[in-house]
Amino acid sequence: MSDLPDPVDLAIPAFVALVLAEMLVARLKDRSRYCPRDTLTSLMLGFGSTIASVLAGGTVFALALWVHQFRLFDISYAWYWFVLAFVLDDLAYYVFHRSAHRVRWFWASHVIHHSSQHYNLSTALRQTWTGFFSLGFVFRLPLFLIGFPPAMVFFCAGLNLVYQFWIHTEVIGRMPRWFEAVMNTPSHHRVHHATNARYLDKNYAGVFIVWDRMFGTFEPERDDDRPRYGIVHNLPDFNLIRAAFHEWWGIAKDVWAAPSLKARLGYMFGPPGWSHDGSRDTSETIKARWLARETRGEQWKKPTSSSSAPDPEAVPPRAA
Amino acid sequence: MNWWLAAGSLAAVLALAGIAWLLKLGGTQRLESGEDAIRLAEAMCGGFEGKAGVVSVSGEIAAATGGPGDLVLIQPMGARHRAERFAGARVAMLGDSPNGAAITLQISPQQVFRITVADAAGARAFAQILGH
Repeated sequence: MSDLPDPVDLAIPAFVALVLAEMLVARLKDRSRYCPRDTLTSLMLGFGSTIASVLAGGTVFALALWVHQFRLFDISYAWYWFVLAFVLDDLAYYVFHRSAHRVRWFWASHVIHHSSQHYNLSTALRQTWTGFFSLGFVFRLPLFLIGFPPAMVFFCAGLNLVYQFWIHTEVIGRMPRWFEAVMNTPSHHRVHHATNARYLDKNYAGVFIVWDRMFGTFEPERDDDRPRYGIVHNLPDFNLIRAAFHEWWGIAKDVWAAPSLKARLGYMFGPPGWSHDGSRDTSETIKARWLARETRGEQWKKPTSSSSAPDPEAVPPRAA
Repeated sequence: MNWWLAAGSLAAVLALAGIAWLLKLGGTQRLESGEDAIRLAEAMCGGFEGKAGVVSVSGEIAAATGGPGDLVLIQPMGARHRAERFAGARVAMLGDSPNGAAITLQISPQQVFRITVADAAGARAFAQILGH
């Protein structure tokens, strides 16, 4: 049982076919949903990520096995343990993902996934090259300590990743109500990828949106505040290396120039945007400013949107 | 993952990017008015509050100002835009053009940017707010 297949490897043909299908839909409905250079960058980041995962995979698996020897319980490969492992792994993913947005060290790795201004299936494959370096795998270690076999956990993690592929699309509006209540969906995840102040740092779920509802980080998508995708400071070009490493470079520069040890730690482990003199924006300051503006009675709704969905007030039609 | 899968994945990546190009996906989003420029600048630059905006004749380039010296320059990036905010910018020159008005922006001591806009009155209002 320990040689379970890698669900991501098995899903690659389906990923390719669905990206192709979405491109054809974009050709018919709205060509701006895809941009060839953005697509190439996203897919090359995805390809590099799989290579990086292979290179680091052995070390991570060895570490998991080492931790597993201190397990509290002996857990078998019975089907119901797979179900429990999948649910708990998704909870671990929620904690990881929330940290990946709130701690700059983890954000430096995760930002790659958010750095496209497009939201399509190729964005789903836009993954980090530095996940191992950022130590994101530590969030799964408690599962091995409980006693779940590493092969089972990594299998569930693969399924989790495969699930998250299809929610990166604007082709699907809303799913049935019961499904939206329990599961992560394209609508919920569009909110997560949006930079609108209202949506910042929301909807961290991987598979089950119930974690966000439980821990107070859920925000529904609104038709009057269409998502604008990307990051607060968008990348200036499609450079692959910049996309993969820009935040690490930013950390290095900030740590080098920091005036104290406390500031150095803040630049590494504070929230993204933290600065020792308060001169930069964090999601809190952006939200506070937005709320203040709302309170002042100004309609700070942003009809200008990178969403491809129809928006009567939005920036008008593309040039060919 | 084995080498065959890796090679196949790379081939698929290049094929999909090529198909996106062949399908002519992308393009540039046109901006129509100064209001568009302000909205986009505010959306892309946290804390920026625009007072006037101008859009180039082509509709691809725009600028917005939030007050004296405060400038956001918007340029196309694929099918979306990129925006850059400058402090201490000024209008170096404002003149007539066959298409409307030509604005030369001094965005840094070594850098100027020229934009031709159809709305000459809007250009004058923009220049007045940004400052000469």
